[in-house]
Order: sequence, then structure tokens, then C-alpha cells
Amino acid sequence: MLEHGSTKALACLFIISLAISLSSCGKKKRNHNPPGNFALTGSPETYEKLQWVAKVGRVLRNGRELSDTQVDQLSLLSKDQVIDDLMKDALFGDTVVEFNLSYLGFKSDYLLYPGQSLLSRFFSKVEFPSAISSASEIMKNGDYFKIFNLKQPMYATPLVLNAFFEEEDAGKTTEELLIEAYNQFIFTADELVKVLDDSPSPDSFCESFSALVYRTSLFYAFGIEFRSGLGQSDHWFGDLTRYCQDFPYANPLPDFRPRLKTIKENLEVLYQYLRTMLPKNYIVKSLTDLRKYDNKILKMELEGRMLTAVGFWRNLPNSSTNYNRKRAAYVLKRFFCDDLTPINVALPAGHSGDQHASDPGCQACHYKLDPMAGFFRNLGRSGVNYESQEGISFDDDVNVDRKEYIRAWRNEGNTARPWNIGYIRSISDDSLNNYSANLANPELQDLFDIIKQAPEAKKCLVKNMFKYFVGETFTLDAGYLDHLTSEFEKKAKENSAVAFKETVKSLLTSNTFNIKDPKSGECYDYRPGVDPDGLPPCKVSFVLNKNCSSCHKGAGAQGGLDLSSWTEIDSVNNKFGFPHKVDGNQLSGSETFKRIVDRLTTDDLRLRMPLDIHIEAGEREQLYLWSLEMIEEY
Amino acid sequence: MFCCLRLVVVTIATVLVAGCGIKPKGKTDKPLVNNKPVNYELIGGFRGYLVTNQVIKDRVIQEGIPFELAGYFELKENQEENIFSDITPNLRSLLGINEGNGVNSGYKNNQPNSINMLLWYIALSGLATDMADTCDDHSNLFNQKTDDILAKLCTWPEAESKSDKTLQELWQLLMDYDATNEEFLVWRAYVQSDEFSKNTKKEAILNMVVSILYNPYFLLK
Repeated sequence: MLEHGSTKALACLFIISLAISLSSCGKKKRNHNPPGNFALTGSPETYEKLQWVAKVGRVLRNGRELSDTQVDQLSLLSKDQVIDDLMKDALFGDTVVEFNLSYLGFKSDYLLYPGQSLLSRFFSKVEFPSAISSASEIMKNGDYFKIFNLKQPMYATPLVLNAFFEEEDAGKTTEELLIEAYNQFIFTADELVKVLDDSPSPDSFCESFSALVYRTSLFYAFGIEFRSGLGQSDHWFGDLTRYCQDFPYANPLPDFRPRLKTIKENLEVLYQYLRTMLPKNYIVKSLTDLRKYDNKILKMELEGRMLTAVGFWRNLPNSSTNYNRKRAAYVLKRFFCDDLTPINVALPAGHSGDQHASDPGCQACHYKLDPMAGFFRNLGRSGVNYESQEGISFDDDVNVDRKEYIRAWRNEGNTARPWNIGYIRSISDDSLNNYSANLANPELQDLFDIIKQAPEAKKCLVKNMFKYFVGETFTLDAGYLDHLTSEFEKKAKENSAVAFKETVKSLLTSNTFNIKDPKSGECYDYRPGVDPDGLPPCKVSFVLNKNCSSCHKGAGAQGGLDLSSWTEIDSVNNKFGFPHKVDGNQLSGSETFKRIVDRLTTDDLRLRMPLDIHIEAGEREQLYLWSLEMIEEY
Repeated sequence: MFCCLRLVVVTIATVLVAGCGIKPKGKTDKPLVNNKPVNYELIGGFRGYLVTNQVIKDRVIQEGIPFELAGYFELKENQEENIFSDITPNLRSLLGINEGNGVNSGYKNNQPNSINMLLWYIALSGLATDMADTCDDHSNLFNQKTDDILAKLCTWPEAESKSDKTLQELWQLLMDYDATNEEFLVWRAYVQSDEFSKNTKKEAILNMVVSILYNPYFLLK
């Protein structure tokens, strides 16, 4: 066995070798190899094109490689043509589903296991109809913005067996098991009718009824549960269960025969539907083969991996303490790229509200979190809508009075806007915020409409596209992102699916996508016309230019601080920074960044930067975090 | 086994370090691009287990044959008493995995470290051993193209097994278009060196395959 010390040493060697080989080896050697030394396919130029085609093929085909012949043929086309060609393939639909899952925060390798296609893997665990429907729209140049609306028709998976069946049934086909489950259920229901015909007594009825309930477990094999406890839904056994649970049967036995007739009819409908979903009758090779659920079946209130839409709600529960804030945090993070970094720089303490959290540190998140949570206020356990009920049940098994609970979002005394529910950008300038068009009763659908309209959401989508199609670890110049987003928005006004595809095309033909030995902190693409030479680091250059340079630029910069250029400020130690002169003397980089941090976070509105200009919360945080990094660097 | 493993590990690391040189450390010595110090920190990470497995399946495995690199984590000897049998399937999650539950999601375990580099070595050398074993016993595991190239490598130490053409075919088969020409030239020189010629047939095939698959251009995205 390797000793601990040597393992550590080997680890270091590995990492060093990997790092060096990746970052410097190719570059150094490239200088030593004359072009005539090219030993791989074709010329350096053609090889580079082949490399690009192979890489793009993998990206657009959801990780599947192109054959040598396909690579050769595609390399004869222009880059745009190659991308257009690959986007017509059904595998591109799978790629978009994977991207969507990543964007929605639910991409998980645990969904993936050998022998299953993406689609069946996807359906077997989580239900995200918006990921499916928007990807389908991409394939037919429809409305990709369905991704912003979590309320989409449910799609059905082919009927597959799970582990919940008896040992003696092993080896039987799905169809055989389905027929058996159906026959046994009907037989037992008929027996129950006989009991009611022959000797109707509560004891004999309830004994036989328990046998019928047991028969429903045969459907577990297909991942289908009749509502747990069987008492909630009158589609099935609700009233029967309630009667038999009321032991020792205080009431006389009702004539349940009409109810049993209805139950048998419902089962017949379910059975016929499930037959159409058998793998031999429902083959899913691509998104376009997918079927939406039959509404009749959805109304039956069955539960299980095939027939529910609760994956989202179960992952993001509403509890008696979080009051939908987890769902709100999800929306802010996923659709607005606001991960609620609690660094207390989003707003001055003096402007903190006191409804939920008056501490400035808490309020830095809560001022936008709580109003967002309000959109979900009527949805309790598993996303069930309690709007018409007196109480609400949470996922942590707590039940409370609903009227009292929703007071958390009441804007008491404000008749114009009675609810404190919306997408809040600023608490000092209400005109920057988005509220529901229906101020009297904001609904979840209103949130989806706000997301669809919000420029932050488009930018966040494009940012996620960059991370997915180009790479997560690259530094993205905010100006380049702004440019991509602006192009996306322009095209999306005509057609959002085309805008999506055109943005993917821009990304796959970008310098960043093609770079061979990328370096940390470097940007390889900028807004057209921008020369990065002499500009501050790309991580913040655009944000500074957008929010600060109107005052802090050139020789007459306010406070002697020029935030538009980046020069050597310490030639002895080879340090670069902002020109920052006080009384004619250049301040050290460390001092400059300490002052920047102070001005970004101060509560004093006369000193707080940027002065009288609204800056996006994410951008302020970005500058703040970068400044801290720079203090560390100096 | 571990002794051999250590030898290979040290050899690969030493070759890479010696070949490329180590850049001197120090903040003041950073080169400049656009007046900004360039940080030579590694960026990128593993492609991840699933993608790497799929890439290998696409490139060398016979279509329709089930294949899992994680299968090489199983200890072949003493199979019935393998105390790791419940653990080994999960080891693949240490090689780069996506996890997501909505708010917390991301690509995890994707940076090289001592444990996952050993795991990669075990998996990739397992595959390489299976490839080398085809010289004695034909296997249905590999596709026709792979079989054809292995047939040439199995003539080791004959000239055909180390010819430019054969080595390019092997490189192209495993690396596809992932790496640069320069990487190929360095690798080819290594395989055609006098030192490498001392390998037995199986050692030669194993080392050729592992040194391609262990290359960062293959493992990292």
C-alpha cells in the first residue's frame, strides 16, 4: 500500500504535470515546431477545422461523437452550415433538454445510468415539463420562452417496470403484469359488489374492501400509486375509506354499489390509457415522439413517477418557517442569476424594511426574496393550491390558518398595491420594480410573465448558455455578454427559438470556444470594436465603464481616481492598477481598493458609489468581490 | 500492483515535468497580456465520468456491447469476497459529476487530485490491459477499427507496430481531434525512443494507450 506521504507527493506531481502540460507545454513546443513538421491529418489549417467540427459535433449531439466520415464531410462546409446541419439532428433536441436542466439547476448525473436514453432517464426521476416543451419548441422554431414558465403540460413516459413487484412475477412482461393487475382489481371489486348483494354488513364489507385496496398495490410495479391513504380522492376510495376507518361503524352501511361501478369505470379508463403507454405502443426516439398526458388521467389524482408534476415542488418545499423563500431563492438564482450572496452591499442599512428582517445583513437578501416568495403564497405541500381553503398544509407537516399566513405579504394600508409581491430591484426607487399586472391578486403566472419581460432574465439565460456551450470556468467579459444578450433580444422579438440557435452559433464560433490552452482570468471575446489593451481586467472592465466611468475617467477624474484605465502603478514590483492620484501622489493599489470597497458598501448615501445611479445588485457585488480579491493580491 | 502503479505514475509525471519545465513562481514574474498579469492557473476540469465513458465507447467499443469504465474498479481477484462491491459503483462520482436539486447545483469533483488521478489510472490502465490482452485472446469488446490497429500493435517489436502510420492511427483512434499536433509529436517520439523499445509487447501497448488517455487533452474538457 502506498504510504500517506508518497501518495501526497504523487498527487502533487500529477497535478503539476497536468497543469503544466495543459497551460504551457503546448504553447512552448508550438514555437519550436516549424509548420513542415505537421504529422496529423491534412494541413494545420484543415486539422484545425476538423478539430472544431469534432468538438462542435460533440457539443450539439449531447456528447455523442461524429464518425470520421461525418467529420470529413462536415469540414467541407462553412462553420455556420456545419452548425445549422447539426442543429437539425434529433440529438440537438436532447442537447437542449440537457442545457435546460442545467439552466433550471436540475442537471444531475444521478439521472443517468447505462442502457437508457436521455428521455427515459429524465422522466424516471424528475418532472420538468418546461425543459421538455421549450426544447421541443426549439426543434420547430417555436416559442423557446416556455422555459420561463414552469406551468407546462405534463409529458408521459412509456410504461416501465420498477422494483416494486413480487418475486414470483419476475420474468413477466410489462403487458402481462398490467393485465394481471387489471383483472385482479376488477375481480375483487366484483367480489365486493357480491358482498353488498348477499349479506351487507359493515364487517364483511370492510374486510373485502381492504382486499380491494391491496389490489391497488399491483400498480406499484408501474410506479403508480393511488393517493396514499386512499382517503383524499373520491375518484377512487375516499368515501369508502372514511367509512371503514370510522370503526366501530357508528353509521349504517351505505349502498356503495354505484360508487364501485364508478371505480370500475375509472379503472377501465386508466387501464386502456396504460395499454397505449406500453413500450411496444409508445416508442420515444426523440422529443417529437413525446406525448402529453391525457387530462382525464391527470384528473384522477394518481400519484407516482408517471403521473405527477411534483418533482419541482418536492425539491423546493414550502415549510412553516421558510414561507416559500426556497422557491423564491430558486427563481432569483435560476432566472435572474442572483444567488443572493449575503455581503450586505445591495442597499444601505437605513433603507431596510422591518417586515421580515430588519437586520441590514439579512435585509440585503430579504428585500427581494420575500416579495418574490409571495407569488407562491397559495401553494403549499407538493405545490398543491390552497387558495380556496381556510388552512394551508406545508411540506414539514405543519398546518396553519391561511389568512394569517398570507398576511406576511399584505401591504397593510396600501390600497393601490395591497400586496408586497413582485420582482424588486430597488427599495429606494419603486419605478425600477416589476409588479403583477393584477395588483389585487398576484398569481404565479404573473411571475412567469415578469421573467419573460425582464432584461436580467435574458442576460442570465445567455450567461448560462455561455457556461454550458463554451465552458463554466472561462471568464466572461460583461461587455461581450451584454452584446450577446442584446443580439439575442433583438432576434427573440421575432422568434425566440431562432434567437437561441443563433446565440449558440455565436458561442461556438467565438474565440473562447476555440482557444486551446485557456488561462484563468483571461477573456478571449469582447464587445465588437473594443480593444482590451489598457483597459481594466475583463472581469470588471465593462461594469466599471457602465457604472463608474462617467465620473471617474481620464485626467479630470473625480477624486483623482481613473477607473477607465489600467496601468503599471508600481514598476519595482510589476504591479498594475488604476491611476489614483491624491495631492499629485499615486496611491498604492491596496489603498485604492480599500477605498473602493468602503464607497461601495457605506450606508452614507452622500458617499455611496455609484452616486445617484442605479447599479444592478449583481454588478455591485461583482465589483465588491473583485476589489476584495485585489486587496488580497496587493 | 501498486509498486508498478507508482512506477508508471512517477514516470509519467516526471516525463511531463521534465519535458515542459516548471515555471518559476512569484507574483512579480508573471508575463503580461494587455498590461494585465497572466495567471497560469489551470482552468477547465475533467470531462467527467459519463462523458469520458461515452467518448471511449464511441471510439473503441463495439456498438451494442455494454461498457463501463467503473467496471475496472472491481478487483478481479477474490471477486466473491470483494468488500468494496457496494462502494465501487459510487467511485465514479469522484471523477466529475453533475448534481442538481434546484438551488444547489453544479459540476462537482472535476478538479484533479490524488485520489481521482489514481482512480483514472486504475480505470484507463484496465482498459489498456484488455486491449493488450487481445494479442493472446481475441475479445468482442472492441470495434473493428480498434481490432485492426491492435493487430498491428501486437506485432511488437516489429517495425510496423511503431511506424509513424500505426502510431498516428492509434493516436487518432483514442485522441480523435482533442489534442494538438505538438502533443502527438512528443508522444510519438516517446514511443519510438530507445528507452520505450525495452518494453515487452503487453507493456508497450499498455503504456502507449495509457499515455494517450492520461493526457490532459483527453481527460480534461
